[in-house]
Amino acid sequence: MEETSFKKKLNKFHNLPIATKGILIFFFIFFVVEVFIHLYPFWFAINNSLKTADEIYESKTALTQTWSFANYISVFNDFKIQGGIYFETMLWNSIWISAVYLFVNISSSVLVAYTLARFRFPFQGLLFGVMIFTQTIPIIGTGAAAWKLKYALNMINNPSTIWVSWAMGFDYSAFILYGTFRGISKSYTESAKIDGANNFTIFFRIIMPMAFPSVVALLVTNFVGVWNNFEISQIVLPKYPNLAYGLYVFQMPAIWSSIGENVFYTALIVTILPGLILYLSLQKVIVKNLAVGGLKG
Amino acid sequence: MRLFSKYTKAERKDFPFIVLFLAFPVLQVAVFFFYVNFSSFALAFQDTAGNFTFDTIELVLEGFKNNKDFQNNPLMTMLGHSVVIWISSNILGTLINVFTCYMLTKHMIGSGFIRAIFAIPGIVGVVVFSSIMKQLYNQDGAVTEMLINFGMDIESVRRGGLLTSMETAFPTILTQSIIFNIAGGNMIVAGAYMRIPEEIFESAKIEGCGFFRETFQIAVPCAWPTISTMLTFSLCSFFTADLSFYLYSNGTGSYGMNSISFALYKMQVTISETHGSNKILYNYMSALGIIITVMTIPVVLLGRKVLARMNDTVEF
Repeated sequence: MEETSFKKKLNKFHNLPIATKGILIFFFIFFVVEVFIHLYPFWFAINNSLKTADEIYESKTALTQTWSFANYISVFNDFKIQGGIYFETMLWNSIWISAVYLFVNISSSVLVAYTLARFRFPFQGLLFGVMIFTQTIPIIGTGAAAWKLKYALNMINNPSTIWVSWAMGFDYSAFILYGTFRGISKSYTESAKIDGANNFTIFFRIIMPMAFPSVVALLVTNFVGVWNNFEISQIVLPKYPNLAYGLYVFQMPAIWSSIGENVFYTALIVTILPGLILYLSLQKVIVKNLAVGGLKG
Repeated sequence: MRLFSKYTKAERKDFPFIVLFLAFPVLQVAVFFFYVNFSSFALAFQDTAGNFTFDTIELVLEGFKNNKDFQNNPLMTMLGHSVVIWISSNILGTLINVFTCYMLTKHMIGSGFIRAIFAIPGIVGVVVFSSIMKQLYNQDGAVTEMLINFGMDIESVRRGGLLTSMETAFPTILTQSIIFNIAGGNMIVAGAYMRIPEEIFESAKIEGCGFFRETFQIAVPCAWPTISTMLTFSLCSFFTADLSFYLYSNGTGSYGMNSISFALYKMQVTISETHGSNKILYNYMSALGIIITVMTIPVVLLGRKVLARMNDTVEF
């Protein structure tokens, strides 16, 4: 499970035949170029977020001279979209939409995955088939019907009801969690049952703590998805614009020309920070715990 | 009662707990997945008054024939763009990613750090990423300036940047999606490679196994169940996942920045903005969806069958 260490890789490299060394050097250069390509856009945005409006007007590519960290405070006052909606309102909408979405979605997936993986019951095969079907058969163009249903159920622009549509338990997360729950030995359940534990105790106090790393990995990856999801605000909650939607709308010419471009870059950086910090700090947990399909042996 | 007879007494005792756990998710998927799909199917064969008709399906097919839908969008061109993006970025991109991911995970120093950098575009999301890239593709953007310095001589690019020319807009987005897809940062595939016991590689080396044999006859086959699952998900992303054209073109689809997923999303935005008053859009979007689904499913099923055939041994 441990990643091959730096020293081990270096030693391995020294003992390789020349042709293999050549291939590895080629790929090393490939990765260096890719790293530069991946980093440049973000360096560009960070650099411009620290410039004054005049400095950006002069050159977007030159290194900042002013280091205007004050942009990171003024973004809360200056970044606004139509309807006078300010950055902090969009930030709050991003927070509550992400929190509610993750809670209902992951909870529902846990319920589905746990029961399918740990019990035997009628129609189990059918429900397992539903989980696979929703992921592997693409049914396209259902957005109109989905919107019509949500409109009929008074879910559009309605945070108190829209969460029901987010609680899709038979999804990709359930697929991942199914593998996790299957991987936990049945002997834990059997021993607990002998000791008199009921199904709720087994679920909350024995199995969930063991599955916790996988749940955290899913929470982080799904957080990134929902935090950056602008469709939610554009299609079902237009009165509750989140940051992703705000950034999209901000680029419309009427707003773009009236507010400084440096504010836009600052808003971009502030928007990406939560996901970036969470994801990068928990990268090892994600790599270890998001397994699908297994290995051949 | 016969339904329950094959279960033990202990298993039957668990049924109330199972029902409690599954009741909400099952109801949810019944309404928001199965009913929605059924409703979408029905809408495709209805007119705006709700009467049964094949007219909407014919209207869509006519749109493919004339390369012009009822809103004057180039339907056939959009289909072509979707197929090109899907094959080059999703399928070939994923396959190359499988190889580069192995190189990165097993043979490169600082692989964890590099993988973290490769993950950044995915972490920041399509809105932020496209917002930054658009600036780089502007007439004074770094990418445009670099290409002009390398000899690109297109007047509209000089005046408005790479996304304001029919010749460059679509290729720019296509190239970008390939470059960012082949880097090898797939965390799930990386996790699979890391779980292959090191002893397998060491034994292979003792027996004189070379670099390419190690990669293609040991690593890739061992991780194949994971790889084939990822490829299956890629197969299913046909027409569904890509909103970048919408964002790069500010929702206009101009200069060839359009695809089927762009058209479908644009229709959905219109439905939302007009509060569903444009009734024909419900039917047209559903009919287009049905036709695209019918085109897609054989490809996906065939792909899955091929992948499943390569994936028939034990797991550990």
